[in-house]
Amino acid sequence: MITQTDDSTLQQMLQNPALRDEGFRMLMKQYGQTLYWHIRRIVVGHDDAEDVLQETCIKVLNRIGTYKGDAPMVTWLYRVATNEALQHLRRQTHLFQSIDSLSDTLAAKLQAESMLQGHEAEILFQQALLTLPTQQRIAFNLRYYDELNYDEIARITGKSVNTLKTNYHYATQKVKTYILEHSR
Amino acid sequence: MKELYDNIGKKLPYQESDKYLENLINKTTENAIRQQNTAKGHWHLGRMIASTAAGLILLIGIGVTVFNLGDKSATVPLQDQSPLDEFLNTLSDEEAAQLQYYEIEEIPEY
Repeated sequence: MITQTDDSTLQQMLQNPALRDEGFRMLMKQYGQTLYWHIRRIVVGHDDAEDVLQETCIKVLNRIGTYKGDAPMVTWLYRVATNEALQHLRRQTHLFQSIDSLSDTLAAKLQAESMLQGHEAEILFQQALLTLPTQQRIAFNLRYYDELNYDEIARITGKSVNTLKTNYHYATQKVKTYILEHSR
Repeated sequence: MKELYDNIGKKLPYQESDKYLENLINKTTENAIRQQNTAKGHWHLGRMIASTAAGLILLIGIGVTVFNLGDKSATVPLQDQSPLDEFLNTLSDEEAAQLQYYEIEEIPEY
């Protein structure tokens, strides 16, 4: 799914002060929606996703010099967005509290946001995903929704391919069990 | 049930229209660019203020030094003798001889 088309052109534009703004507009036009949905699936709420997307944009613009071009640009963008989303979740926790303990808060957000649009089964599927540990949920989303391969997910999350494969297997089992237990 | 979940596919229970997302992304993109340019502007302004302040301090320093030198050469008379020498010159030989009997500790403090 990830292609490196125009990555070098975008990189050149972003690293040239005269073309940087235009390059950034092109970059966001190309990957903005992908990033929004990736962030939204992590933080669940639309307002939170908007905030995180804004932070991601600023971080990308500030740190574009650190992008080496050794991986597709979208992988780097996913990585920045994932870190910003995790940072956002961490800000919602209390001292010494893990972000995994936010599942109830996120489930409440899911309920509120999907009340008007969501199909019962779709909501149940998302609720099942929210029972997963955050890192596992992110890896599941990247594999299931974004259809990235394990190497790409490994670059984004910093986990080994084998760990990711095992996690994905456990995650699918947990999701299935949750759905079976909770569906009427 | 399997059929039901197969139908869900990758659909999420919340959706945003493409048009809405396009506007949102444009807004966040422009905000980020504006913020980056403002930050850069602040950095340039800060650097300009700092260099102006440093220049002013240097000029003031040079001015004070030049003024003091000019002032000294114009108004402060050259002293060949210190006030102590002048005082010693007014003493007679006997009075001067008396001074030898004083130890430094015996000189009272005023």
